[in-house]
Formats: sequence, structure tokens, C-alpha cells
Amino acid sequence: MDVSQYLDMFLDETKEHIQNLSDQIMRLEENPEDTDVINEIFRAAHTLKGMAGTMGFTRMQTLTHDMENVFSEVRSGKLKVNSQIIDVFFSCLDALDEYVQNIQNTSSEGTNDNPELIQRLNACLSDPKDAPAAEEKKAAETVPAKEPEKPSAPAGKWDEIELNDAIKEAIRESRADGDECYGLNVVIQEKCLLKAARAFLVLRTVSEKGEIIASSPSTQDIEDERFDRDFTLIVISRLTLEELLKAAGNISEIECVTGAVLDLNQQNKKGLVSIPAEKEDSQVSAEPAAAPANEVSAPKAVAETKPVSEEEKQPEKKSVSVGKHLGNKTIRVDIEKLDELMNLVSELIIAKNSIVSATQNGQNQVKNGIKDNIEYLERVTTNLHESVMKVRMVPIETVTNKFPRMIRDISKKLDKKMELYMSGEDTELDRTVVDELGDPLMHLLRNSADHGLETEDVRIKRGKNPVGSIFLEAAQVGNNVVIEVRDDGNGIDIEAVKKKALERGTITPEQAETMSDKEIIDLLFLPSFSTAKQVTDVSGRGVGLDVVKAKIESLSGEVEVRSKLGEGSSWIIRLPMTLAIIQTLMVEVGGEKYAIPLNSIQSIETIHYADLKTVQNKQVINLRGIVMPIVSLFDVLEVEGTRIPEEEMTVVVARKGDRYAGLVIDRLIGQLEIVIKPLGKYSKQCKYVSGATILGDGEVALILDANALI
Amino acid sequence: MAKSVLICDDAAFMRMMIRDILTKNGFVVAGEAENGIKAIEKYQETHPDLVLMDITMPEMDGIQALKEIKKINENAQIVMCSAMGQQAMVIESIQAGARDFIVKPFQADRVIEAVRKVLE
Repeated sequence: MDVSQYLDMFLDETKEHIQNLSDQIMRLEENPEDTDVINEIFRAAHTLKGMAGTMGFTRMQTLTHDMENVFSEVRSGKLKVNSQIIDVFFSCLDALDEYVQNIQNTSSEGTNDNPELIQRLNACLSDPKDAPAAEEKKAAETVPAKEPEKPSAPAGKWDEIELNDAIKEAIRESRADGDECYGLNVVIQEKCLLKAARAFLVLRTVSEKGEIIASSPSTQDIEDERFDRDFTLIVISRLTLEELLKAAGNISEIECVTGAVLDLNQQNKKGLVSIPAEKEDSQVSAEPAAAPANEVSAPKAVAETKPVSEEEKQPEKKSVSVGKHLGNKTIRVDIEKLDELMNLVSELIIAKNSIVSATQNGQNQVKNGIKDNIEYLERVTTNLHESVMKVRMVPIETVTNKFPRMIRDISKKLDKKMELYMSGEDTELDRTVVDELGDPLMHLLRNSADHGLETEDVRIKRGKNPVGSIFLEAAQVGNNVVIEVRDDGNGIDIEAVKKKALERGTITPEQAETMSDKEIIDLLFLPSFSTAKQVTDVSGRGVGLDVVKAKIESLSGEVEVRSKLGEGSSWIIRLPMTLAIIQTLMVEVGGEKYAIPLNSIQSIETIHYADLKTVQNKQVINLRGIVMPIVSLFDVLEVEGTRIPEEEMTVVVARKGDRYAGLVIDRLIGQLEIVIKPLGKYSKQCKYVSGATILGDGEVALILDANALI
Repeated sequence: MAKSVLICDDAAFMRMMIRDILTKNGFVVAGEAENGIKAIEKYQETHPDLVLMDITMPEMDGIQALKEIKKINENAQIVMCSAMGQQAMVIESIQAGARDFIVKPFQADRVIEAVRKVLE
């Protein structure tokens, strides 16, 4: 069976289950007795096992199987959850992650058997008092593999079953009533995994057709899987032998069923011979009973089973043929969102049809009809656009859900007590943004955990809660999503940063004098600038904050830091909700059209030239108490033709964090929703342009990056 | 007329796989359910010829769902999907009236064999 087509879905769902496991194990660590959580873990491990097995990832299957075993014991109360189990499980999750990564990159799970992990899992099981149960379970499940080859059913086994006189009497009576008594021997296929269940199904089916009066081994032993591959029944039934054999032989995974009318004389001959439960040997020594003429066998179609076993032997080969890179960018979409889209598309078609019919109507009505319908069309397209955007949105949960586990690990590693509080994980962002967000957020959280939070004794000395708090809060603010990583730790030591910058020669002493606190904090974002007193495993290698900043800016976002020494710091990330389509203000500068993203615009002002002041050779204006520089877009963009200062000018006030700038423009055109088209290499030379867009009339307008202008 | 099958499994991946196996072999998928409660709802809604029921599911497990469906229709044809190590549960479900069972990891022809045998 070719399973490659399911790989994407398998990966998606596996990741979800691993995440779920991680969450549940965290919960279990806090509350080791919670049966709901234990059940959930068991179920997740179980589901993973089934999925991995189906895809032929045997190593993953083995590992999840052993995980399931441990939790099966926990669930039945035989095993208590302890920190050892929790740790092993977290390690298992890491191993599973590795398998998933391997599968994603190479479509093969790799060759790591993780023997050490499996050993540790088994060690959990082999706690002295639990050992027998675990062993038994293992043994029961490995039996099918070790099954010896036993090609065909020995005939006449039913004659070996010892029947007491009462049963024989019953047989005679039923024969007198027109029923018949048969001996049946059922051989189960070698590859059958749950033999007892299969046998039970046979017992049940047969007893629907007649009465089982004796069996070897006993029905209880059959149910408990205390038999090899075949078992023998003596049945009283009104059906013919053919019918009975057909009924039993029609059950899946039965290799063959043989049977014959029971000959009580044959029975009599051997009736006194006591037969051991495992009577394979006695069969050989027994007198060769002539096969009765009416013996019928119902062999299973051999051709049908052959391809299966072949495939079973090569589970790994199946997946090799899959293409190289498998981490396709897929989004799982809420069905409601798609319904909405469908609905809108149908409305769009209706609107189009209305316009068509409006043009076919009489002359007078044409104008009004078209106008109405164009309005309608506009409404639908706007909604349609919104819906499509929504489809692209995924909650940031997909990246934040791995953080609790990370903080737990860091907490253990650094031996600092800390707690992560998250809120607004359901805030949605464009998929492309969310995908990129994981690393920067992780850096910031590690930073907070490692550098931000003080050690326990320092915290106690400072009168703080000995357990440090880290907050990750996300919220939608207008067209932006704001994510804040905050801690109640030490805060940024500005003097230390300054000292370090001086030591490194990043700034000169003169610069240090005039720099504001904010500017100094911004130094942290310079490449290779780390103030950590010692490099730890967790963070502090001096790579990080500059990467964070670069990443966020590449997503058209920004990072801002607020910090108070001794009280903690907060890192605020602002991101546009989507990168593809934005609301902009269209302006004209020197006859050219430009788009300024609306999310960076604070207000639009008319300013009198006389109000401008010159400070440090820069033109500034005091606008309601805020002093901001005035930037002439004519100069910055080098638009041809000089502009004569008029008495009044139109200024777009752009905002970046708490900094403002007034951008002088010619004329306002209006608000417009535009689709961003990247300029590729061309725009690299001009840092004030972030892209371009095509306007309704086909004209191209450049999009100004207001952040770069401030 | 093509026979219809209701697929109950908590893993969407499994459902999709079974769905493909069934449709490729000329069966109609009456619906999908991700837990026992949904399975009962869907059963009443779609009246499938056969139900493929996973044992381990959230909300309500497959055995419970099997019993409930049997209450609704005692002739309901139900095939259990199990995994190794669930022998006792499989036996319980056979007692409760399951017609057959398949063991994960699935082989396509094993699924089809089980479904055909029950429906024919």
C-alpha cells in the first residue's frame, strides 16, 4: 500500500499529538493523580503508535508502543507517576520530534532506535512488584512473531478430545433429533495479531449456528490465548458440515477450517487415552486415523494474502520513494471559514449575473441597474477578501504551545523557579508570520528566563516572590498584533550595557554622554552584543537579540524594549496582521503616487510653515506637546522638481513605537487597500521603499516604509 | 447499490486513509466521526451498512459506542479497529456484537476483506 500520499497529514497530526502529549505530561507533573490526563496521554501514545505503524515507521512505533505500555500500567494503577517517568517521557517526546523531523526532511524516520530510551521505559515497568504483569504483557505481544511454521491443520484432532459419557449421551440424543455432531479444527493465519480475539470470533460465530459442547483447549484457554495456532471444537448443529465450515471459514484471518462428522466409535477407541493440553506429540504417536470421506476443508485464498506479507516485510522501502522535501506549507482550515468563502463566491456570481442581465435590459434602467450592482459587487469582493485573509490566519498558539515545556526545561537546567503565564494564544496572524515567529519569541523567553530573572536567593533578598514570573501576552490592536514578553526579574542594567559598549568600542565616551537610556538599550540589538556575565547553555552567546530584531523587521514588525532596573523588563513585538494585503493612505509627492501603510500613520495635519523650528539643523515641529522632526519626502525620495515652501503644508504624522515624524507630502489621495508586490532585488537600494502595488488603473505605486523614515 | 460505511477514528489521518481504501474499492463513505458520541449521532443520521469503529477514542470509546448503536439497531454491522495489546477489549466488543475486527497498522486488503465479509 502506498502511504506516501498521507505523509503530510500524518506529519501534521503527529505533531499535534506530540504537542498534546507534551501539554498533558506537563499537567501530569503538577498533578500526578489526574486520571483524565493519564487517559489522555495513554490515548495519544496509542494513536501515535497506530499512525506510525500504518506509515511503516517501525522505530517510532516501537517507541510509542513502549510509552503506551508504561501508561497502561499507570492507568491500571499498578504504577505510580514519578519524576523519573516524567523525565523519560519528555525525552521520548524529543526522540519522537527527531523522528518527525527526519521524516519531514528525508521521508524516512532515520536509524536511531533510541535503545537507551526504550531501556529506560522498560525500567519504569520493571519495578519489582510490577515486573510480572509487564513481562506477561510483553510476552503475549511478541508471540505472533515467534510462531513456528505449521503448514496445515492436522486432521482428526477432534477425535482426541476426551468426551465423558454425559456428552456422548447428549450427542446420541441430538442425532436422534435430527441434529448432527461435528468435529472442527480451526487454524488461524500466522500473521494474525490478536489470536484470542480471532478465535473468540470463531467461537461466537459457530455457537450462533449450533452448540459447542467441547473444545481443546478449553474455551477459557482460547480466550486467554493459551493455544498455538489451531483449536478444535465439537459442535452439535442442524446445519450440514459444508454450511458450518463455510460459516467458520468466512471469518477473516482464518487459514483453514477442517471438519468431519464425529464418529463416536473412533472416540471410543481413544476415549480412555488421556491427552495432554499440548498434544502435538501425541498426534504423531496416535494410530493414523483414516481421513473420513466426508472431510471438507475450507482453505483461504492464498493469492490474496501473499502480497500482504511481502509488503509487511519491507515497511521501510515503501516510504523511500517519496519526494525529497515534504514539509509542505499547508494550513488546516476551519470548515466554517471555507463555507463563508464559498458563500461569498456564490454571491459574487449572482452579482455578475445581475450586471449581465442589467445590460440586457432597456436603456433607461441600465445605468441604475449597473450602479446598484457595482455597489453590491464591491461589498461582496470586500467580504471575500476578508474571508480569504482569515483563511490564511492561524492562531499563534501553533508556536507558543511549545514554550511551557521549554520554560520547564530551562527552569530545571538553571535551577531557578519560574512560571510562564500565557494569554491571548488564540490571537491570529498570517501563517507566514506565525511560522517565523517561533525563534524570536523563544530567544526573548530564554533571555528573560536566563538573564532577566534573578536566582531564588536574590529574589528573596529583594523581597520578591521566589518564583519568577514570565508573561507572554498577545493581543490584536487595530491592524496589528502586539506580543509582549515580560518578566519580573532584574530589568536591564543600563550602566552595565553602557560600560560594555565602551569596552567593546561600540560607542565613544562622548557618545555615551549624550545617549538616552533608550538608545543604550537599543545597543543590545547590535550583532554580537551580550551582557551576560557568563555564557550559559541557555542563552548569552551574543547571538539572539540582533537576530530577533532582524527577523521581526523582516516581517514588517518592530521590537521595543521597556525596562526598569530591579523590576523587570518587557519586550514588545508589533506585527502587521498580514503581509499580503494592507490598508494604506495614498499620497502624491511631486506628481508620483505613494502608499503609506495605515498602521504606521498616527494622524494627518495641516501645518503652517511658520510653526516650524530648527533644532540641531533639523526642522521640527511641536505638535500638541510632541516634538517631531519634519521629513521632506521630496528630498528623501529625490523626486524631481523642487517645491516652493507654501504657507501651509500637509503632513502625515507617522509613528514608530513612541517616536513620531511628520512626512511632508503634496496631496492626499485617500485610503486604499492594496496588495503588496515585492520588488525583489530592486528595492534593496532604496531602504524607504518596502514594495510596490498595482493600482486599479494599472499604474504602479511604491509603498513607503514609514519605519525607515523615522 | 454501493454499500455505505461510517468511519469512526479519532485520528483524521486514519480516517482519510480508510476513506481512500474504501472508496477505491467501490464503497461509499457515509460519514466520519472522531469520537464515540459523534459515531452514534452519525449512525442515526446516515444509517450506514457498516461501521468501522476505533476502540480508543476520546469522549466515548468504541466499545461503548458499539453498545449504544446496537441498542438503536441490533442488526447494526460493526467492525472494530484495534491495536496490539487490546485483545481483551476486542473480545468484549465481539461479545457486544462486533462482527469482525482489524488490527492496526492496517493493510488495505485486510480492511477490504473485513468489510466485504461482513457485508456479503
